Amino acid sequence: MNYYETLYIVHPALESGHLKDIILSIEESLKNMGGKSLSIDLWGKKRLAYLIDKQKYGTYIQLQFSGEGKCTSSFGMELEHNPNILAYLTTTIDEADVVVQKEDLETQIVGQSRESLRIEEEDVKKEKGNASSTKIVADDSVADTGGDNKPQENSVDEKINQENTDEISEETEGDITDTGGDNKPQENSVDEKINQENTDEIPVESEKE
Amino acid sequence: MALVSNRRICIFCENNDQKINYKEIKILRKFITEQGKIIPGHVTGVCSKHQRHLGRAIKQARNIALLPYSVDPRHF
Repeated sequence: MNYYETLYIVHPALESGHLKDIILSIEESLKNMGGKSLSIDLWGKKRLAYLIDKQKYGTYIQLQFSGEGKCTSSFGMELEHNPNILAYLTTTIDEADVVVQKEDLETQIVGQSRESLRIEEEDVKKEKGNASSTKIVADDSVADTGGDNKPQENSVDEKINQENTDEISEETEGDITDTGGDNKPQENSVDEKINQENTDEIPVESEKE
Repeated sequence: MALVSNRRICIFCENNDQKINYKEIKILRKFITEQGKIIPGHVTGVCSKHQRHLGRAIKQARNIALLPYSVDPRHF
């Protein structure tokens, strides 16, 4: 007689009542095949390392049993054909590794269902946190790069327009103070200057005369 | 001049209490990379006997979805 340990994953949608039925049915099928179950340990709902049948989570159940070598292969086939079981692994163990079952199956299911709910809530919170952080990053990227080119162009255009308006205002102010705004007054001012120079020169000439 | 060996002692040979089992994910995670690859024994300092046990345990853990087969480096 050898000692074996089977760890199998049950579909996460199955809650307390259905879960108990499945565990008991598997135990019964093991008995029919000549095995003797020693302990059942419910690990609870855990996140899978990769998707199995498009499922993120799974309920892990560890079953330790003793029996002949033949029963393991037929038990494996039974688990294989069960649609509620996502994956299973049977390994040989020493007699010393057999765990004594401390709690009933029902109390384990009740305890683990609470814990699994807590774990799921925590995972949901984490995912929400990650999603919000990614959103913030996305917003930053939009602000940095403008997402599309159009907003960036618009912002550049706005800047250019602002600069132009500033320059224009400065120019106009300068024109207003110095030359009077448009080019024509500037020309006039030049003419006036020339005229002034001429007028300055004229009196000198007249004085000479 | 005597040769000084830089060979590390295997942690599983040092501590007999530490058993290699596919259910001990915390221990196994130390011997795989972020991508999920098994780190060779000459890097971690594990002896060839325990490296064989480690490899078997990691593969068993992968089979039952306790450890990943591979992780996309873009998701670190």
